Amino acid sequence: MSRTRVAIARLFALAVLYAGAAAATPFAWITNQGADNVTVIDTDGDKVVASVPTGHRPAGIAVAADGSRAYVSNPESQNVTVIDGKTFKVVATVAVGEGPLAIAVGPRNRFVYVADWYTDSIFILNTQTLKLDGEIPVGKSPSGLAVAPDGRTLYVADRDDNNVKFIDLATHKVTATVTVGTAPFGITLSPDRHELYTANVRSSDVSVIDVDSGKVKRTIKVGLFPYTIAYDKPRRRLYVTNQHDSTISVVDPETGATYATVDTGEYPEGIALHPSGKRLYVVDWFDNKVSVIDTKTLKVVDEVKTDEESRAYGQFIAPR
Amino acid sequence: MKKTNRAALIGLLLFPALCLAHGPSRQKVVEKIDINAPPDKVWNLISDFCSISKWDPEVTACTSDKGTAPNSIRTITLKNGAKVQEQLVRIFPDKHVYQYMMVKPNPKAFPINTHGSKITLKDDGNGGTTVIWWGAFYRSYPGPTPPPELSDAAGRKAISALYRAGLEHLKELAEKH
Repeated sequence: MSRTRVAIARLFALAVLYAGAAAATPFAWITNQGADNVTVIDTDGDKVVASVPTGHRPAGIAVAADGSRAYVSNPESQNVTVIDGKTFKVVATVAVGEGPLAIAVGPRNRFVYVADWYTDSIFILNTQTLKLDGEIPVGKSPSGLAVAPDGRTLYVADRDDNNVKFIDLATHKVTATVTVGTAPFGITLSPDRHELYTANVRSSDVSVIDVDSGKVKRTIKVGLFPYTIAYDKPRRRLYVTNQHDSTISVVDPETGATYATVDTGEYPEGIALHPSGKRLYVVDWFDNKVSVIDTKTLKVVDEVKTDEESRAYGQFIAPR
Repeated sequence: MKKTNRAALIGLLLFPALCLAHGPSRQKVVEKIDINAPPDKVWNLISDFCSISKWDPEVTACTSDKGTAPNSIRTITLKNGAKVQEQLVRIFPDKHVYQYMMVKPNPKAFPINTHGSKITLKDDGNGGTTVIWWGAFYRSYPGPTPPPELSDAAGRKAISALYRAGLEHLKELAEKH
C-alpha cells in the first residue's frame, strides 16, 4: 500500500470514528411530574427531540451507560416505564411496588434498582426479561441510590433513618450503615468509588463518606434543602442543587470549601454533568426548564423549555 | 368525616415521626392577582412578616418571635383554630419578594408537608402591581392511597384557598385610599 493510500485510509478511519462519536452525543431525559411525560433533549445543540408518555407523575430516571434505554419511575401509577434510547418508543411498563422513586442502572445494564418510598425496599428489575428479580428490605423512605461500578455493592440513602446502607448485591445483606445528616436524599458515588456524597435535605449539608472505612469524613454546609449532587472529576468539584435557595453550591469535597454559588431557576432538582465535562444540566422544577451551565465560567449559557414540574431525579444523561 | 379518615388523621397526629414522611410527588400552586396600586403601596401592606393576619382573611391571628428579622418564626392561626409555624427564609424589600417555609406540618391546618412559599410583587408597567404567590409542598399522608381529605388534590385546594383569599383581600386594601 502506498503512503498516500495509507494516509487516505487513516483519514477515512478517523472520519468513521468522528461520525460514531457524533452519533453518540447523549440525550438528556427529563421527567415531568405534572405532565406525565419525559422530554428528551439532544445535548448537541440542546434541542428537544421527543416527548415520551410515561406513567403517572414520573419522578426518577436512569439511563443505561450506552444510552440504549431509559428507565422512568412513576410513583403514583406504581410502575416503571422502559423506553428505547434510539426510537424513544415505550418498550414496556413494569409494575413495581407501591411508590417507586429513586432508580439506578447497574453495570453492563443487566439490572435496574428501584427504591420504593412506601414499602421500604429495593426492587431489582432484570433488564433482559423485564421482570422483577428480587427485593431487598432497607430502612425508612429509601430515596437515594448508587451502584458500585463492579456491580457488587448498592448504596441506599434511607431518608427517614438519616443513614446510608451498603448492600452486598450477591447476598442482599447490609454490610454497613453510616449515619449522615438529616434526611439524605440524592447520593452520588465518586467514579473511583472511594467516596460517596449525600445531599441532606433537612440539615442543609453534604456528608462525604469514606466508602472503604464506612465513616463520614467531612460534612460540608450548602444551601437550603439540598437535593442532588453531580461530581466533576477533572475539577474535583461537587455541584449540589439547593431547592429552597434556587442555587447550586459548587464545593470542593477534599477541603469542604465553597468555590461558588450559582443562581438557577426556582427549585432546582436533578443535576447531571455532560460527559464532555464542559456543561452542567440543571433541572428547574418550578420553572419547567433545564438550565445549561458552562462548567468553566459557571454561567448559564442555555435554557431549554421542558414541561410541567420537571424533576429528572437520577442519572438523566448517559454517563459516557 | 368518615371513620377511616379520622383514623388516618389521628395516626398523623399521634406519630410525629410519620409527619416527617411525605408523598412522592411535590405539588405546585400558583395564584396571581393584578392590583391597581403601585408596588410600594402593596409592599407596605405585606412587608411585615406577621401582617398576614391583617390581609389574609383565612388567618385570624399571627405572632412571631423575631418580627421580620431573618429566620423569624411566625405562628399563624387559621379560622378553624389550627396553628401553623412558618419561618422567614429570605426577604428582599427592594425587590418586593419574600420567601418562607412551614416549620412542621399540622394536619389539622393543612394535609401537607414541607410547604415552601414565595410572594413576589411585580410592577405591571402601568402604575399597578401583579402579585404572585406560589407554594410547593407534598401531601403529608404517609401511604400510597390517601383518603380524599388527605390527597394531593385536597392539599392543593386548601393552599389555593389560603392564597386566593389573601390576594383578593390584599387587592381590596391596596385599592382603597
